[in-house]
Amino acid sequence: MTMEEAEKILVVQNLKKYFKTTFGTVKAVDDISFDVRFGETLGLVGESGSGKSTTGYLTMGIYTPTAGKILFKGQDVSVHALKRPKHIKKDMSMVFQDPASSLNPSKTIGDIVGLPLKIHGMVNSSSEFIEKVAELLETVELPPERFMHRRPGDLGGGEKQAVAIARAIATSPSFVVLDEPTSALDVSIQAKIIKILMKLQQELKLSYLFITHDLSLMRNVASRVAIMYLAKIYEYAPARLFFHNPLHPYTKMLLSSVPVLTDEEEALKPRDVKSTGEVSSAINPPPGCRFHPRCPFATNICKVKEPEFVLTEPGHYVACHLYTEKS
Amino acid sequence: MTEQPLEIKDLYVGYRTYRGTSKVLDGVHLTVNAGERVGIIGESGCGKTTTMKTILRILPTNAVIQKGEVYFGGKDVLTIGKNELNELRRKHIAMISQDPTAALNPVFNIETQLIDIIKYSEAHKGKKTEEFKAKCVRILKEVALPDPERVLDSYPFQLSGGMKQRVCIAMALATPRHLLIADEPTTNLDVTIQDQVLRLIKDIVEKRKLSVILISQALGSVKGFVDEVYVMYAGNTVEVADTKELFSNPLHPYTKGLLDSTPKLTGGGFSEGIKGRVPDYINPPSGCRFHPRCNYILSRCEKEKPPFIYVDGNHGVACWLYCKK
Amino acid sequence: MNKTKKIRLFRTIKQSPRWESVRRMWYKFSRSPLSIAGLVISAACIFIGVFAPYIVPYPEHGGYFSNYADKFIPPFQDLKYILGTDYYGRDVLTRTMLGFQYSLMMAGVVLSLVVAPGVILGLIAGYHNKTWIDMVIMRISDIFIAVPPLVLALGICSVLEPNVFNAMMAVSLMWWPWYARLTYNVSSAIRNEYFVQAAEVMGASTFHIIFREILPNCLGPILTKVTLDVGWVILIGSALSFVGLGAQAPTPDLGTMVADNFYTYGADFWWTSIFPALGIVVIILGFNLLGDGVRDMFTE
Repeated sequence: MTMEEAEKILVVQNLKKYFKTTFGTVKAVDDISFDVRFGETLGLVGESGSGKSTTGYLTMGIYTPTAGKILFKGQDVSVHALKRPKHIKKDMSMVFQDPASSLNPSKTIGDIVGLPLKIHGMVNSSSEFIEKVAELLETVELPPERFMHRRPGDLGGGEKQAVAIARAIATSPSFVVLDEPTSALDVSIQAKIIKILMKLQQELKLSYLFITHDLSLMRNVASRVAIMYLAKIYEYAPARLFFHNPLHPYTKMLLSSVPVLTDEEEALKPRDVKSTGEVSSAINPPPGCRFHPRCPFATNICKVKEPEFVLTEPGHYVACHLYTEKS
Repeated sequence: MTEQPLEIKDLYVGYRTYRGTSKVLDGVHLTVNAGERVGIIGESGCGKTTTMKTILRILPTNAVIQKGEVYFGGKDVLTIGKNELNELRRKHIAMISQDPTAALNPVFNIETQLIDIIKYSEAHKGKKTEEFKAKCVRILKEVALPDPERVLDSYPFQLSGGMKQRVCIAMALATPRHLLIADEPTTNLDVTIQDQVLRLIKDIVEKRKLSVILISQALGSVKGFVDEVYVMYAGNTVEVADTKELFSNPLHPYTKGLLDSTPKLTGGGFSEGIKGRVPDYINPPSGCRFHPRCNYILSRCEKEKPPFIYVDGNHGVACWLYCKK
Repeated sequence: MNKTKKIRLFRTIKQSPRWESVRRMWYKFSRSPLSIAGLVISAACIFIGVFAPYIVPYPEHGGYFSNYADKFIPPFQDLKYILGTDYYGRDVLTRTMLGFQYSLMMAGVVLSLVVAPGVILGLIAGYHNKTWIDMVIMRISDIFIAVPPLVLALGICSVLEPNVFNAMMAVSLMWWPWYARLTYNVSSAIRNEYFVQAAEVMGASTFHIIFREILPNCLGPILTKVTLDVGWVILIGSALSFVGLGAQAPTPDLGTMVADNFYTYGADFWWTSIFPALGIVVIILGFNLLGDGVRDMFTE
């Protein structure tokens, strides 16, 4: 491993995932590459059909990649979760999108949070179990006396998600995939949950893969951002550059559609691109650059040739023909 | 037809559950004048949808309207008979819901569903079915749907979320209406589609001079659209103001907390959010329902419920901090 | 964390959420007066079925017995024989109540044999949804379902000796695939929920996932079906007895009693066949209404 590679906890190379359905082959993820460094949060942004959730699932092993490699701490884990070694499963965890269905409704909170402890043999007696679970619940600001023996159905959305987070950090992992952890929550609760996540990242030195469609949220959470559209990554930059100097037309379209409150945010939004059109089908994506049907700057080459990644400023990659000519 | 204002006065609604009767709406008031656009913001469980359903009287069977009046066109909707109620639903008020998939019948194609609505409205009594088809195409063109003929022939599952929501808007506005209730119309859609749909609603509303009630959790989408904003919490109207005034000068601690918690596109990190959770409606907190979560609590807040008073012009708030006694 | 706090966590609070869910389920159940009626009727039937030999007026009338002096006494006339007597002078009330015992015993045995294997196979097939395991299990169960139930039972019973035991075996054999199918439908839907994927990703064993994550969420439909099936099994069993393939005379089985007395003595001595038939109706009605209530308990 080189010095650079040692900094990266997760490396994804040329990852592909195709699903065979009765309507045709759905190309959910089509040749993407990215990496997550130790202790940072990589944000993955995209709308429906972009493949961002599928990417998260591939990383965790819920799906088996059709092609490509996933390297976790240098080790090749490009297989289904059931085939991965146990110590890897202990080290990575996931928080799912819908808190209601990510907790088994027939079990108690204590059992749900403590399950990973039992599986990995981290507790030896039932009193130790209760102690550890209580500790975890306290970390996510849920008083154990009130929550340990309740069922998920009695809890509000924010509390359920806090339980999911407690479960995710139970085995002291180093990497957590967060798939839209706050999309189903109200704004005031979202702030609390994000604060807990940030605190945990600091205290436990976690690396996050943060998947969301909410750009305002992403701005405050991620250190680097990658934007996906129809199974491919089109722009990849540190957060500040991504938001203050967006290059790809889709990034600009997304930013201009974000509902904002203050005038300064309004000023940040790009003026030259307004949202038009709809996402095309993933079974027959448009040839060439997949965004060309909706792109106001599309030229002939965009309809034919897929753009390559270009480095425009330090750390800022863009895949768009507008920039390939320039460099 | 003259446009008629909607007025909700002192509404109390509850639900019967296995633990007793919950008291959800606790004296809600709302006024929408002709041609006015009103936004309601509040989080899930605060009673916004219950209020809207009460206006159209489509509450579930275990709901109990304990007190209050809902005036539309001078008549109290809660006491009118079935025929008048149907007329209200057919001719005066239209509603768009959050989930377009649930709002469309999956076993009929769009054409059948649109024609059903047009057939039963007064304006088209006696006309033939062929004329309806041309009208349907016109309506779908108005909501910016490409290729209306294909959409008419399709079933809901063949359309995307944005297209379905546009169809729902078309269905709501197929016949002339006075009031449009849009209950979180874009929450389930992608961000770019949200923008398009909201712009569409704005265009149609301006063209037809409708009154609108827009309910949303995304404060930003409400801001660009409505003239007046109501903030609801736990079944109470806690603050009312003109849009600009509310966002630049929020008075109620809940509104302040809400605006603080919204992440900013310009960065700056996160606030603490609002501590606590939405109250249990079976045993709601005494006095002001927000007091367990409030950072500016006074001793009075726990004992008495604050009255709703107008502090500055159109800006009203229900909070003891602003009652000088 | 000190010891007193630990104990408090374990004991006192542990009771409340379970009690809470019982209260909630009872509320949902008791909304419908018909479900309460079903509960009462089923409880009465079970009581009669269990205690029949001890509470019937003439226990010896259940076996070989004849008292031709008292034969064919019409019902509601003689206090000694409230529902009348049959050809052999046996009390119809006694024999009907003893018949309840047989019917409920049949339901009990068949369901105990059938539910566990069917549910387990359905769970396995549902978890391995869309793989060869699913195909094999479901096609085998399809074969059993495809044969008309009564025909299968008749076939088995006519090959083997016709008695209660064989009738129960025959009914069991054609009953299990329904449980496999029901469980398969429910578990294949649950299998794709996030909490199952979370357990897989954590490293939980397949046994744990199937029996500790998926199964508890399938219980609603399964228990409803068990309740309703009591009535159905008894009906099928009575049908078998009716054609002579179940319990043989003089065993007081409801179906046998209807068969023996309906054609031979028909309208003239109607009480000998109608009351046993009513007995079947009451059991089935009671358990059907109860089954509706059980289904309500598990619906939101």
